[in-house]
Amino acid sequence: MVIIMVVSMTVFGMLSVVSVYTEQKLTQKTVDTFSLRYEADAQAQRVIARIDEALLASDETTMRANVERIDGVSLSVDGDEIHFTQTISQEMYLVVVLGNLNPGSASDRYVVLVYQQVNESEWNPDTGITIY
Amino acid sequence: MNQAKRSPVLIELIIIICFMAIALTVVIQLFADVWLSNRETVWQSHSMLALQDQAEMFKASPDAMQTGDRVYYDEYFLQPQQEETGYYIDILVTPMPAAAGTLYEAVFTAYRTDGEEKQVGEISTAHYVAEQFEPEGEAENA
Repeated sequence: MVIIMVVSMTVFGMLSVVSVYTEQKLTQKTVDTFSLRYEADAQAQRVIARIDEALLASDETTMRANVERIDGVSLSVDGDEIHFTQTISQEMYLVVVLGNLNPGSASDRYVVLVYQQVNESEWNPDTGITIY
Repeated sequence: MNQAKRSPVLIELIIIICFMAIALTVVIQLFADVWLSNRETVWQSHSMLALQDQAEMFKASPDAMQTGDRVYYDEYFLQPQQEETGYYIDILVTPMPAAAGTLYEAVFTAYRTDGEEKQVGEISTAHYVAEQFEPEGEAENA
């Protein structure tokens, strides 16, 4: 009787430890992902600041040279959009697209068209099982 | 020969009670550690949601927050509180003027105080606000 009680309490204790350990790992992973996401977001804002500075100092002819001088930033072929990405993790990126460009303008030099977190991990959905 | 045989039941009972006491001590300590670890995890998880709330409010209106602002929360960082509590988020905002606007950098740190202040979580973010300059023609007419 005593042995059964001790064994059952020990088993419950071990189950609790495993459960808390799993929760801790998951929470830490979530916290790390949030932190990386906001760091990438902050870096994207710094890049937008540099792009805005380049646009303010440019006109239609010098815009491409000034914008593409910024690391990681590219201008579309027709000069309508600016694209760049920030890495969040191995499989996640922050994609930013600026449009409605007005180089040299006193105001509204760009509009943020896309500001999106993209996940490039492989998606393997369950295809289901035949039950009947 | 006349001595009554001592019953071993009493001795066995004492041994069993000692064994139970030792086992219970170990198991109860284990449960207590598990409870404390779980509480830390809950703080970490909830504080991250509260930090996210503050970061998103900052991004919506970066000049509404200033360095030194403090937001108090209830015991598990679920609801903001008006009165001072031992659970709060400190805000540090640094506006950095740029040629075409202002880049606001912010750090949000969650603390809990149980006798001593302990950091529970932190988020850093930034938001750029482009400056709208007056066109030269309008400035002259004004």
